[in-house]
Amino acid sequence: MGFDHLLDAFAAAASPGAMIHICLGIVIGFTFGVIPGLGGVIALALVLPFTYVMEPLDAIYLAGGIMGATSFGGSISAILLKVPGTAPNAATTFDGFPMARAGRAGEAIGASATASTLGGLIGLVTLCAIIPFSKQIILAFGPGEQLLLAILAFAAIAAASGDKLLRAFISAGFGLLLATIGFDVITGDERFTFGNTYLWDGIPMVPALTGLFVLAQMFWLAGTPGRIDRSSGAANQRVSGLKQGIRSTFGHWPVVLRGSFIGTAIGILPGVGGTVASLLAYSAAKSVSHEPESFGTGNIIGVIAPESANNAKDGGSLVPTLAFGIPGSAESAVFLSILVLHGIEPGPMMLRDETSAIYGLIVAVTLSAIGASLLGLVLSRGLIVLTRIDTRLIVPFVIVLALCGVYAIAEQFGDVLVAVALGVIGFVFLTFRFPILPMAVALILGETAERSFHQVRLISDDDILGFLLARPQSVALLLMIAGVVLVPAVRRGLNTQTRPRNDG
Amino acid sequence: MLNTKFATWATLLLIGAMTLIGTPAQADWPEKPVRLIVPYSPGGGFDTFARLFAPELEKALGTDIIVDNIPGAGGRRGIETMMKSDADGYTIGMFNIPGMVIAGVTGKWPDVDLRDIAWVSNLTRSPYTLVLSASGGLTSADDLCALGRPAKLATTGAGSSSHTIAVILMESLGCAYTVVPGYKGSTETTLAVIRGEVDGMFASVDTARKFIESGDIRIGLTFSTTTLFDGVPTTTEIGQNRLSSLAQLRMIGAPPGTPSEILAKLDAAFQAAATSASIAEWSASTKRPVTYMDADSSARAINEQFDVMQSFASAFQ
Repeated sequence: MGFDHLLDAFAAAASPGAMIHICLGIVIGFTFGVIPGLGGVIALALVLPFTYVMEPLDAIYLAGGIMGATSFGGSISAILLKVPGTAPNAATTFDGFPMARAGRAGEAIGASATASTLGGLIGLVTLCAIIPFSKQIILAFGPGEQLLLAILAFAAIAAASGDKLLRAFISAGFGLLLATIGFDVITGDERFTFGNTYLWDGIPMVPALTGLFVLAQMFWLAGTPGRIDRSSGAANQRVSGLKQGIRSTFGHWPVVLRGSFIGTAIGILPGVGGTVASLLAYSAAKSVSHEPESFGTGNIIGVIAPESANNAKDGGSLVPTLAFGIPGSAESAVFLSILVLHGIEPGPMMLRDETSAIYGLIVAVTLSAIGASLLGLVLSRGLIVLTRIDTRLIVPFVIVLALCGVYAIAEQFGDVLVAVALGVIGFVFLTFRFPILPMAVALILGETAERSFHQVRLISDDDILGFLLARPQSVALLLMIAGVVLVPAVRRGLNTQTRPRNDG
Repeated sequence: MLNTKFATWATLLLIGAMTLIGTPAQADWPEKPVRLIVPYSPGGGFDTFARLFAPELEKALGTDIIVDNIPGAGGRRGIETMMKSDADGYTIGMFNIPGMVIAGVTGKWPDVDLRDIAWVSNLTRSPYTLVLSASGGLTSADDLCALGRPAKLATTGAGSSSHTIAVILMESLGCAYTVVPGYKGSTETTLAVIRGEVDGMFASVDTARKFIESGDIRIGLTFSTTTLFDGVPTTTEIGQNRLSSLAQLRMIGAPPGTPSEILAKLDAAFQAAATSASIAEWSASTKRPVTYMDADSSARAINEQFDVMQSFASAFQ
C-alpha cells in the first residue's frame, strides 16, 4: 500500500525544482559529513531559517538531501584520517583507517559508498514495507526494551573489544560516570554540577563526541608526523581500488543485509542512534566471522558492516516519526520542526493527512543516498591526496574546523571546553591503548539505561525480571544479549580445541 | 559654598533636561533590531512560534527581529541572559509557564523572580488535561483513585510541569499515586499511557488533541471552568475550581524596568501579529491555537498559577 504513494512521490520529485533542492541538500550534507565535528544536525539547524521562504515540499527535499548524505560523507574522513566525520562513523575507523595506511583508501571508499547506498535503499524499502505496522512496532518498545537495548550495546562493546575486555570496561565505566553529570529527572537533584548552570543539562553529546573522536585523534596524529599512507607505492599518485571496493561489497551481500537490518532496527528506537547501530553491526560481523582476528587490521567487512547499518538507520528512524511524530534521531527532530514551520503537524495523523510530505522525504533521502555516493566516488581522487600529505598540515585545519563547529551549535564557550577536555582524555586513552568507543557508547546510553531502569522498577512494582520475562520482545532481546556475550566465547573454546597444539 | 550649591542645581537641571530629551528617544523606539530570546534549542515548539511571529512583528514594528536561541538548564540560561540585558526594549524573551513558575516555587531558581518581569503579552494558552488510554477501563479522575493501589502516572521528570500538575491534582483529591518520571517529552508520556504501563498522565490540550483525533487516548478531566470536550468534567465541576487556572502558556516578557511606552508598543506589535491572517492560517492548518493576552491579563495569569503552586510547594519535594 505504501508503494503507490512512493511512485507518486518519485514522479513529483522528477522536476527540475525538486532536483535542485535535493542536489543542494546532497552537497551540503556531504560537506558537513566530511568535515569532522560538523554533522547533519548542524547542517539542518543552519538551513532551517532559510526553509521558511521555501515551498513545503522543497524544504522537505532539501532536508532529505542533507539527511541522506551526511553519513556517507562522514565515512570518508573516518577512512582517510581515522576521524569519524559524524559520530556514527566511529566504527568505520577500525578497519577503514588501517586500509588507508596500507594504500587501500580507494578500495575502502568504494566499499563504503556501495554499502551506504545499499544500506540506505534496504532501510527505505523496509520502511515502506513496515509503515502499515509502524504504530504497533513503536508501542511494542517500552522502558523495559530500552533498558535491555542499552545492555545489549554494552555487551556488544565487550564482544568487539576481544582481549582488551578489562580496558573496554574501564573506558565504559568512565563514560557512565560522565553520563551521571547534570539534572537527574528521576529524583530532581543536580549531580556533579557544582552549582554551574552549564552542567545542569549534563555533558552535551556533540561536543563530547567531537572531543573524543576528532580532537583526541588529531592530538595523536600530531605526534606521528609523516604521511598517513605508509604503503610502499609512495610515488603512485593514481587512486585505485574503487572498483574493487564496489565489487567486494556486492560479494559480501550477507554482511550488507545483516548491517542494514541492524541499522533499521536500531533506527526505529528513538534515542539510541547511529553510533550504537554501526557498532552493533561491526561487532556482529566480527563475531560471526571465521577470522575475527583480522578485524582492526584492514578487513573490508569492517567498513561494509557499519556503513550499511549507518545509512539503513535513516529509514528506520522515520518509523517513530511517522507513527507518532516522535523524532527517531537528532536529525529528524530538526526535520520535524521544519514541517511545523510549514504548517504540517507531526503526530499520529500525519500518515493519513500528509502522505505527500512523508513520501517526498523518503524519495529525497533515497536519491540522496545514491547521489552522495556518486559524488563521493567522483571526489575521492582529490580527497585521497589527504593521506599523501604530511599530517602536520592537516591537524591544525581539522582542530580549528572542529572547534568552530562545536561553538556554532549553541554559541556556548562551555561546549568548546567540553570538547577540548574530552579530547585530552581521549588522547590519554589512546596513548595508553584504552579503547575510546566504549566510553562514547556509555556516555550516549548511560542516561537512557539509568532512566529506563528506574521506570521499569516503578512500573513493575520492583519485580523487574518477572516483568521482562512476561514480554516476548524483552525475552528476544535477553536472548540476543546472551548470544552476543556467549557466541565469541564458545567459538574461542571450539577453536582452541580443534586447533593443533603445535603452533605455540 | 554658593558655587557648589549652584553646581548641584545646575547638574540636577541638566539631568532633568537630559531626561526630557530622553523621552522623545523612546518615542523613536525601535531604532535598531529587537532581539527575541528563545530559551530553548532551534526546532522546539517555542522556537517555532518565535520564528513564525518574527516576520509579522517586523511588519508591525518596522525593524528586524532577531530570534536568538539560548538553550540550557531547562530554559533558565536564556531568561538569565535576558535579565542581564538593558531594559531598553531591544531584548525580550519567551517564557515557559508553568515550567518556570515551578522552578521559582520550589526554590530551585533563586536568581529570578518571575513576578518582577515586565510582561508584554501572551501568545498561547492551553489548559491541562488528564490523559487516559482509550482502550483501558479508566474514564475519569475518580477511576484513578478507585484502583485499590496507587495510580501510576507518567511524567517527564521531577520539576517538570507534567509532574507538578500530577502532584497537585492527586494531592487535591487525596488519592494515592506513584509518579513514573523520566519520559522524554509529552509524546513519550502519551505512549506510556497507550501502552498501558501507566494509568494516566497530564498534558496540555494542544499536545493531547492529535492523539484524541487518532483515537488512541481519552480525556478524563480538563483544567478549566467551562466544558472543553463533551461529557468530560472540568476541575470546576469536580469542586477544584482553584486548579482551573493551570494552563500551559507561552509568554513574552522584558527585563524589569523596561519603559511602559516601549512595552505598550511591543504589546501592540504582538497583538497585530497574533491576529494576522498568515498566523491564523498556520494556526488552523497545524491545529495549534494562538491565544493572545495583553500584559495585564498575562501578569494576572502568572500570579494565579504562582499562588496555586505555592500552596502545594511542600508536596513537590
